[in-house]
Amino acid sequence: MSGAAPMRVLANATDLIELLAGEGALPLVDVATRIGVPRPSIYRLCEGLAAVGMVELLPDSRVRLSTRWLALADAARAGMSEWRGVPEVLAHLVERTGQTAFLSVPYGSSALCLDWCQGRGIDVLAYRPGRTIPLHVGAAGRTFAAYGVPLPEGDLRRLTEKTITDPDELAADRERIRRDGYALSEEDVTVGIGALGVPILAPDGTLRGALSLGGLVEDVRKHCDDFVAELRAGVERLLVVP
Amino acid sequence: MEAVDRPGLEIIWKADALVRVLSRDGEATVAQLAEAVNEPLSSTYRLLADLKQIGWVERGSKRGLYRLGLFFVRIGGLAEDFVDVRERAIPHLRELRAETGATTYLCVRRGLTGVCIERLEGPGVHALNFRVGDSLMLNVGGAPKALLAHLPIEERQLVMAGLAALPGEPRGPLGGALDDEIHQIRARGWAESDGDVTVGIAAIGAPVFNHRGELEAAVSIGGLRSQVLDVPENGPRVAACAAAVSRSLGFGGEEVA
Repeated sequence: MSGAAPMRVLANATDLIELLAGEGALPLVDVATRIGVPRPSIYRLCEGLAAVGMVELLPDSRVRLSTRWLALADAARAGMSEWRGVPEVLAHLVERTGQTAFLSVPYGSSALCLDWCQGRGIDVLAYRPGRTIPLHVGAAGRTFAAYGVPLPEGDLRRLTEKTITDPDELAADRERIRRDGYALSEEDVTVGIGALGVPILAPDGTLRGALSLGGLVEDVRKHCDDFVAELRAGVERLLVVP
Repeated sequence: MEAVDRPGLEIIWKADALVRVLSRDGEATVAQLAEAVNEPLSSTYRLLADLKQIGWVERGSKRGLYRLGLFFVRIGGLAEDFVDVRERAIPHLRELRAETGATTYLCVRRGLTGVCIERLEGPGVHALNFRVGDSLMLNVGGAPKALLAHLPIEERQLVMAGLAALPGEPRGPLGGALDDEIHQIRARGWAESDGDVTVGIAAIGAPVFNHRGELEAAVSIGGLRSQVLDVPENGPRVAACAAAVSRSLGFGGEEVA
């Protein structure tokens, strides 16, 4: 890596971090192959990242992310001052509905869960802080698609039998979400699980994020109107936070 | 932090320096960042541009301010899946066993009980109960009482009400007596159990916290009274072990590397 362009080193570091975040501890040898960087360079990169506390080199020649990333994620969240009022709003939604409440923001061509407050029932939700979902599924994803975040090119993955992948059907779905002002997700991410999402729009109409509630699909269906009203009240409260 | 003395890797060190400033201050201007990392303004601009391109930083709430990017939220969220309290605790439990000669336990809370999820047998006498998978009510034993004492106050009150409502003869303290003991445990840093689970067997337990400061588990030692409670060093040893496990889970934030 001697003389490697700084940007190249940073890009390799990012690839390495992404890989370890997805798979946990990996043998250094595998990391080199997976990232497609010569082994000596990967060793040096890992040593460099270990020296600043971003990764840990394990005695068995594996490398993993350090727990410092947990604190960095918390710090990044805390730095996003526009979402200062979020924990209270999410806790209030859980108190009112018993469902799990989420704040999501657009992240490339997906929705990223920035924060959540867990509901009182089940714990099988695939979506939680730091997780992303594609824009053709889920309450947050489809809300973003409806309010202008473009879907990626190419084939869309089917997660369950209920996942919509047909472009015309998706266009109709976006139309419906804009008309109603909310998205209803019924088992299109996880069988048995439903969610409701509403957009968080700045006064000028810019999409800033989405608030959503998730739980058992029967509960979500049954209380749809009440839950949407709670979500809208939550958005109102978020937008008045200075 | 020593500089990385590898050619081509200074960029990692510089990027980390910026990340440290932003994670401490939330948002900063280029001038503030340049000063904090002791770099010229021009190269700080360049570095920020590179970091912005890979998602490590983004524009802040106002013009001219920078902050950590959503990349960190995503990676931190994923990294959490691989932080397993049991796996992280085992080396520390082993050390605690070597120091005390007692059986060491790792315990998590489930409802009104503490469940044993790891147990390393000491060389001496040990109780037959509280094997992996066994549970104890939260008002008895070393680890369960350490858990109860460090629950958030609302949850603690719910648990105490739940324990009081259980049918049959209560085994551990309730009401005011339990309140007093919780007070003592919190002030001292560890919980003591003296024959309240098995006659003749004592335990000392202390809480483990995760990176958000939330209660995650408790570690404890158990054995004969003479081996556990009569050794004055044991309380601080258990507390230090619990603190080490907490640190391994990211508790204490930036200091963990």
